[in-house]
Amino acid sequence: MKRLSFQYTISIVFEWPVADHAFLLRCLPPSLPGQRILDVCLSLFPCVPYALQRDAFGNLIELGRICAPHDSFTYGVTGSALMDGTPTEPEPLFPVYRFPSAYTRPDCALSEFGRSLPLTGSPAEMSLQLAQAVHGLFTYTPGITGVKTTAARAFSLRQGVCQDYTHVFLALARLRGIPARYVSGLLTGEGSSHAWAEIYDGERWMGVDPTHCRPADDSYIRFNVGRDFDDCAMERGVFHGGASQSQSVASRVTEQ
Amino acid sequence: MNELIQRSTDVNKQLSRYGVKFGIYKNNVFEERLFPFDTIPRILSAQEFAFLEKGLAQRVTALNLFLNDVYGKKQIISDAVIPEDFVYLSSGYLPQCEGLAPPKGISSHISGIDLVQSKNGDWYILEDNLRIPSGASYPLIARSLCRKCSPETFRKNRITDNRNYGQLLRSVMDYVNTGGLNVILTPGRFNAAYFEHSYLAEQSGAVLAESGDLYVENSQLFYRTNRGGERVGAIYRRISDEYLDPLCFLPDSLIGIPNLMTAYRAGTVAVLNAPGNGVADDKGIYYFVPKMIRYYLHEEPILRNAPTYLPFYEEDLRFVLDRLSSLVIKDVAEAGGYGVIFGRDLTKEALDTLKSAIVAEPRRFIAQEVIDFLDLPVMEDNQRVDRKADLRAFVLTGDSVTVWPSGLTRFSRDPESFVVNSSQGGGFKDTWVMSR
Repeated sequence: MKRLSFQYTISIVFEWPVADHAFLLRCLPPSLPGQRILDVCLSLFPCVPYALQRDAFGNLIELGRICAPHDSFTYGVTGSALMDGTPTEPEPLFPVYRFPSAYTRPDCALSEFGRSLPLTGSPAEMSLQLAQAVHGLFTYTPGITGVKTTAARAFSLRQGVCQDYTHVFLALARLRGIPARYVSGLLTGEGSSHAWAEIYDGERWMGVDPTHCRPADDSYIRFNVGRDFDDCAMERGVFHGGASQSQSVASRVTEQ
Repeated sequence: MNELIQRSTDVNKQLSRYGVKFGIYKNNVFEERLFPFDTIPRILSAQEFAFLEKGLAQRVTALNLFLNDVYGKKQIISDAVIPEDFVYLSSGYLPQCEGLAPPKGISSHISGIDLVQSKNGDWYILEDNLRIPSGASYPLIARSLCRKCSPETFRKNRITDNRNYGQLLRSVMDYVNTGGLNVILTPGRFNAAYFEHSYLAEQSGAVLAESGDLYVENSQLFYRTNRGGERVGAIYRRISDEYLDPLCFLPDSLIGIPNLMTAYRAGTVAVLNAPGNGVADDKGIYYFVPKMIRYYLHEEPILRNAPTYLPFYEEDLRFVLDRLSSLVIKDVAEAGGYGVIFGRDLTKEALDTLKSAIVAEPRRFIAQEVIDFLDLPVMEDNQRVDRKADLRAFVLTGDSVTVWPSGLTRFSRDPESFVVNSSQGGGFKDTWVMSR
């Protein structure tokens, strides 16, 4: 059992002021088996009220609207979580996790690679073999891929970041009949958010991190799950104004 | 009726004055076309309409139950009536709509069901349109102009009045309204069906709005006025699902309303038709509609599907490959008369290419027997000629299920063509339902 304190801040700076800015955030971690959120605080700047809801994948969403012109938007989350190592509970499978999604639809090359992999054992064992395969294939390289890079594209580049590792992993797992989903969250020792995968072993979900080639243990704080990055994006927004924007991220997870 | 036919030019002139146009994109260029109107009506006897009415209401009731089930408990899948592939691989299935309970449990408020009549008089369902079926405004305005051009015709014949469509639409909107305005959301005047959006707003007393007129705050939808925001209780959106909310679906959409889906999920606004309906009017799901009727209603389907084969099933696949040249093949991902292939029109090579496409992706195609349509007379250069025609019936679901006593009859202007779709340059007729 360990207690993690986490801090995650995103700042978006617009070149020119924008207005009528509607946003949807997914930046609050829920309490889950094995992960008890002890306290959490969301702060927004400009400071506006927000509504809370759950989306179709069960994630917490925070939504609101900033009417007045503003040249930056910052949201920050701080809190602490008790990671008690409780295994996830058995739950029925939401079948969409069996099928390809927009970011994880394999092309010929990726399908061929996936079919050629010799996988043996239980789904949990197979998922680690898959994570090894992806890990072995990729060179971790920031800046080559972007938020819109698909699994097929990342596979052809053999380079990318956690999001790309995860998309390729998901494409392969689903191709081989293992239901799998994307997880976004925070990891101790990382300076920004992290992405990994969960596979369904017929009864419950189990975390596996292809970027680090290991099972996701109690140093991983889960925020959102979905078919791929698109369902789990921490922030989406639309606004009036043609400003270009730059974004900075600061994140810290420490053991107390 | 002869007098009406003689006034054909007048009616068409009036229609163009009212802007009854149909916009299409051809090679990425937007073109507005007049939607040619033929004054010879399709006539349905009271008895025939009563039969169609029963069958259509039954079908739409089952489709609504299916939509609630598929985004809810999914019993039809767990009971193995529909294989899950056909649901989750359908492009119309939207996981973002999982667990949503539409106000009053209605998902398909305005359903456009396309039928054809075969030469021996039997009716067949061609397809269901449960997303944003267009076309009701055309026979609606044509009827009122015909009445003006030839009042005599309507005095002599006992025709059921069809001019209540606006009231029907309004009563459906009022029924699901959660407290606030009724709004019709249009993408704007460059949309193929803009005439219809504005005409229906006028006829139903709803506010015609574009996305910039609407916003979501505190999980509620508002219409901008100079006195501030006014709450919207029901929105009949004429924008397809993927453009509806840039924060939920396609992020680049400029015609949607940010966070509309969260207001909908919070239950503060009714969205007509419900997002995600595409899963039920998918060409692959079509095959299963008769099974749905038996499953949910424990009744035998009153109206028949065209005989359909699913290459997804091994047995059907072999049959389809054998008889490909006599079947019509439809790509389930395409709409608007595109992706419809008649086997008999294909060369040997093209047939082989199609065969391998079907073998590679059997789930993508359905195959149907070609129905020998009953031709309808059409005036062309002062001559009566026969053309293929179909019928789009409008079924409105509110407090009860009502079939509009009229419908859009579309005909193909090309005598060789079996594809009747306004996107493919056909014309239309009024549909008369006789009152006795």
